[in-house]
Amino acid sequence: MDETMGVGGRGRAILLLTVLAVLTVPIVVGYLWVIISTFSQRTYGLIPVDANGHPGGLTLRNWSFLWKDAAIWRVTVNTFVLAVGLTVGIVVVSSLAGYALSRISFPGRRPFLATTLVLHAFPSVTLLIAIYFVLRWITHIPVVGRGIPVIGGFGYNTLGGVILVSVALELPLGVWLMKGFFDQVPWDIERAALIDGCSRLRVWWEIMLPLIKPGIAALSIFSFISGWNSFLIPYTFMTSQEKSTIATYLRSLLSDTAPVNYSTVAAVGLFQLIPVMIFFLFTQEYLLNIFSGGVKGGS
Amino acid sequence: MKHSRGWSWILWVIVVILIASSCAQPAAPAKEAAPAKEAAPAAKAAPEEVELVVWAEANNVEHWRADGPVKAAEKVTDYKLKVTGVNDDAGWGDYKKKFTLAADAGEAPDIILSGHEDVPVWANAGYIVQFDECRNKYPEFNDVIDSLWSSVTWQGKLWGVPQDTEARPMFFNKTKLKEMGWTDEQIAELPERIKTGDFTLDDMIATAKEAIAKGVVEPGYGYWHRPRKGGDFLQYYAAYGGRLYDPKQDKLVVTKDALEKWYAFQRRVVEEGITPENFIGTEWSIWHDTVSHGKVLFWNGGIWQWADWAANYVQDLGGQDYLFSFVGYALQPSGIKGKPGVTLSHPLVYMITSEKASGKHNQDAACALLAKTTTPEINTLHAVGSTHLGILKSQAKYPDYVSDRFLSDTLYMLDYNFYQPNHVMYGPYFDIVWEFMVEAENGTRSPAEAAEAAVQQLQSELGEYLIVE
Repeated sequence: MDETMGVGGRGRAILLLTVLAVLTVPIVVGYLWVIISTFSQRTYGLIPVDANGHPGGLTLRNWSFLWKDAAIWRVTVNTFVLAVGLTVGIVVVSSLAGYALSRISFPGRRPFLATTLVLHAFPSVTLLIAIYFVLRWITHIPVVGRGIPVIGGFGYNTLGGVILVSVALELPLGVWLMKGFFDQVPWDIERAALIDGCSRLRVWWEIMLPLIKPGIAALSIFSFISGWNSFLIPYTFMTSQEKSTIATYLRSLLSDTAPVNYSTVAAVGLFQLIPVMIFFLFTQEYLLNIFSGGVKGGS
Repeated sequence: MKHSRGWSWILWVIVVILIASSCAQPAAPAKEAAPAKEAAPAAKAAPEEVELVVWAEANNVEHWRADGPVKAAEKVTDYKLKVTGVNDDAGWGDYKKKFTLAADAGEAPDIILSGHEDVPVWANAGYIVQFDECRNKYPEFNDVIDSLWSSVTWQGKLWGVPQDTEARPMFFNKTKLKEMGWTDEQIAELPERIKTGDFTLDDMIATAKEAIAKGVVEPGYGYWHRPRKGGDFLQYYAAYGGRLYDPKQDKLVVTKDALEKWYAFQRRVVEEGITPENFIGTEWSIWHDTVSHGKVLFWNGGIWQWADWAANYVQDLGGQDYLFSFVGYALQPSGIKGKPGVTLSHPLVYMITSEKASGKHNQDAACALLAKTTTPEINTLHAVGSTHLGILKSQAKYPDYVSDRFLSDTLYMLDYNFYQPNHVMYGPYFDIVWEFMVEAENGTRSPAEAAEAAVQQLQSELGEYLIVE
């Protein structure tokens, strides 16, 4: 690129990069403050200070929840199960639905797509009561309601129930996203497989899914973050503390009426970020290919 | 195609089996909601362990609300108890919503702590049980201040036991008053003048305006009311002679004249420049920080905030000692000359959930636990730790309680207090008067228009539950 870029072009690029760097500074400073404050008694700007305002005051006290509060590990495991369950549920259903909506012509296809978009517009808080009745109904189903290991089941006051509801609420976005990726895969590849005797399901699994890995990676990370950070649904529909999640734990540190130790909140927030970062590291290879198209030469 | 038809069939079979099984079988009680065996009394050789769960809405200085019963369990001899206390600080709205859904599902805790105004709604829904039998069973309950029982009375029956109560004083900045030229005697006499009705809301506004004019406080810092929705504002309705409830007819009351004067007061404090424009909605943390650091002349707060300020806002300046150095407290001034000041009390109460709500038959054990929680030893931990008034007669002589200067100073306010009514329609009532109060304060409507509109809406929504006077 450098060889083809003239002096004027290079100057413009430097200017643009400078502008971007300046615009990015507040964000970087914000993150930097979060990290520094978790290891400080107090901060004066970005400088850690002690109780008397003198530079210093470095401490691990804000991270003490990791070894003093056993609940953090329980809620982390719960949240991990919730996030993974949500991710798997959304990716599987969205990719199946997206494939069908992209490739199969059936009556009501367009209205279905439009309806899912409208449903996505409803804030989840307005659906709480309706969701509650659905979960209560599921609770009455033997085994499915309350008898599944790890997730408890899919009824009210179970991790599985919260996963189910969260999957339902996130599906419209997932279906649209997946449909968009499937739309970009040329018909020829699929047609060849079908002529060779592949079933639709096998085509989806063996031909199409490998071609939309960037899309799956993107949807996975969005879903994982959504599950990892969700508060309202888990808080409302899981009454037992043994089942609570990390967002509920974080919320308990914030109070309307009592002051908040933002250094501890920042520490818990950073801790909450770690799995998301790990997940991102594993999926970034696919994510970075997101704009390159599903196949060589694909549109 | 064969494959896809096969899948369809499998799916249909699963769906039909699920629907059939859910219809054919009675609802399987949740594992956690399974009825526990009748709690065994202590007379038996080895009492069976009863597991109880207590939910309380509490911040870090109010943790004894749920931890009190956990500690009290050690004193219970009738039952062998294992108590789990849950202090929830997600906010009252989410907390109550969560309880309501859990109770409807039969998975509520055994004991729930909430505001006394929830008694009629939850009793009406069958979520909580009557408390009369429990109250008569244990002598500890005889120690509860008699007037507090009215806060848990609905339709002539008791539905819970008070856990704490409080007063909502008018705090004032003694240092700023002195800077204005007030003498120490004048400052010391202010609470008494408010108590007798000699210093009214008009006087408060005039003083705050003077403080701004003299540069003692910044414009908009003369008087700060609560920044968010809450019953505190009704103190000004009461200050102008407004009535909320007629117990004989069990109906809510709106006094038109007092309503308009209340709304006019809310608008006036903004127009006179002693309260900032669009103040409602200010963050609590900003509010606490500002008033506790002495930047405001008068402010309407609650006594429980004292502990909060001392522990969490001004601890490094000396905590309570710092507050005592400049903060004074009195009743809310009356709006009518010669009429005593008022304060609103809002007792939080423990309620025992029904078998329908909790799915368990632990009501007797819960009663025994509440008896041992309603003792000066346990209640004073909460009262002193969170600066809430005690609920027991014996606390007036209990050393740990008496030695708390702030609680002792404010105890007299209970003689001038009133409660929000226990009425099933009180929620909508308050929502309406609040909504139009906000419009009046923000200047969206004139106080007269807002009052008129509020009365109309109250009449249309509450109908026969309302008396307009």
